Amino acid sequence: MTIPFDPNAIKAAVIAKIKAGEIVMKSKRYFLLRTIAVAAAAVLVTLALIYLTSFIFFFLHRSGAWFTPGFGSRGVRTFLASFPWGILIAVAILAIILEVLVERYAVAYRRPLVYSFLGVVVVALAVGYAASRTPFHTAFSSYARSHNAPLVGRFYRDIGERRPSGMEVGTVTEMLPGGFLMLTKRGDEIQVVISGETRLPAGYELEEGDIVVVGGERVGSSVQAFGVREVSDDFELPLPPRGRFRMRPAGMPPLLPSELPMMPVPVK
Amino acid sequence: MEQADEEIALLVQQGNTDAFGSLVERYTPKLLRYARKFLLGREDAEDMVQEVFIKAYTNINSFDISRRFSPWVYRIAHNEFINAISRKEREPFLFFDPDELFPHPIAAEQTDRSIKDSDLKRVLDECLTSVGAKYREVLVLYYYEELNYTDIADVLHLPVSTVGVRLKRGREALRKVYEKLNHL
Repeated sequence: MTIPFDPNAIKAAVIAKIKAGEIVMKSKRYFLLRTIAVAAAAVLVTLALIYLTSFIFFFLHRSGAWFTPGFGSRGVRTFLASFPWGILIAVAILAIILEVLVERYAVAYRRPLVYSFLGVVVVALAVGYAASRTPFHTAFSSYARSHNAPLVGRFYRDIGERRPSGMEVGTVTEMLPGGFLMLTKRGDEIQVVISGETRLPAGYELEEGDIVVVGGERVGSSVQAFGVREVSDDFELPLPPRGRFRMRPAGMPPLLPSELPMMPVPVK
Repeated sequence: MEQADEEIALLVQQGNTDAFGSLVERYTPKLLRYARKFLLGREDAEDMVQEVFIKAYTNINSFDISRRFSPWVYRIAHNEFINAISRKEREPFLFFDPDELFPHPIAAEQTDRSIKDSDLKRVLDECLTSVGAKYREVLVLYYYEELNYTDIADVLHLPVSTVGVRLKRGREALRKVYEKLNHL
């Protein structure tokens, strides 16, 4: 025989448990603290996300990779090879964590995920880029290194000062026919060879003391450049005394490889 | 005049335990129907619904009385039932839906449910057991519990457009099952 279900049985059981103290209401303060904790976590994650995004922009500028896409397809390959992909993955993980934290709120779950994710990306890129143009990273890097900060100093040393392959940043020290000598920011003197295939800005006039980004693989102490760009406004490097020698008059085509003289290798 | 659910919830928050009994009385038949239609007898519906009310009482101070009580308690029920299914079927990502990622244009919610739905409920009763949990739940909430798209979105924490997509696909799945059963 089937026992008919008593609709009041559930009510009686629940009320009995409440009155026996087996079920206790969580206080309003508990939920307030939980909301504050979630909000604080969301703020911290957002700040970390913006910091890492701004660091990516800082690194791309500092390494010179920012300028290499202007050198054509080889420059784009150099840019992609130099990109700090590990940091980008960390940024993506933080964005996902942020989505999870705010998912419980209607403002997040009522819209398709792609909208909120795009919103996070746009804000991170905009604020991150703006932050990278302030002296924050440069000052923080100097402080971290001078105070030998164990984690952050190493982060800036290992990542911020890494020499990406396929490009060099440095100061022009001497002009030569068909190229120039350059003192890199790491203190190496290298010889840059310019050919008919080298991408240069129109009306290019290079001078001693100019800070340049050179695209090209270093072989020994010379680089066959596929691109050169002057970046004195974007960088601060120790400058040798400026000379007035001009490489080639504006408007003249660059030297063909057959016109290049034999380059003496600088002896240290 | 009967007190609104939200007014009763406020009394419970202020310490009136007996007022909670009124909410239990009102929602027991609805949540039992939801449990039986959604869980399909795999779990003990009465035990599950009792657990839902225990969770509702424990967390009553998280309920915002400016919002509606019904989607809030259905949300607690949804979480309990989903956990039970996930535990039993060992599928933690049972309800991940790629349709939650992107927006969808959907038809406006139907306002006149009467004629079509009586036929549809007959079909539902016959075929619901053969429809997957993801679509079964939204069909139950829409046709049996008569929640609107916005309430369902609040219960399931989904975009409103995704609710429409799931409902549409749920109806298609029902039609296929019905056609298959009627050809046998």
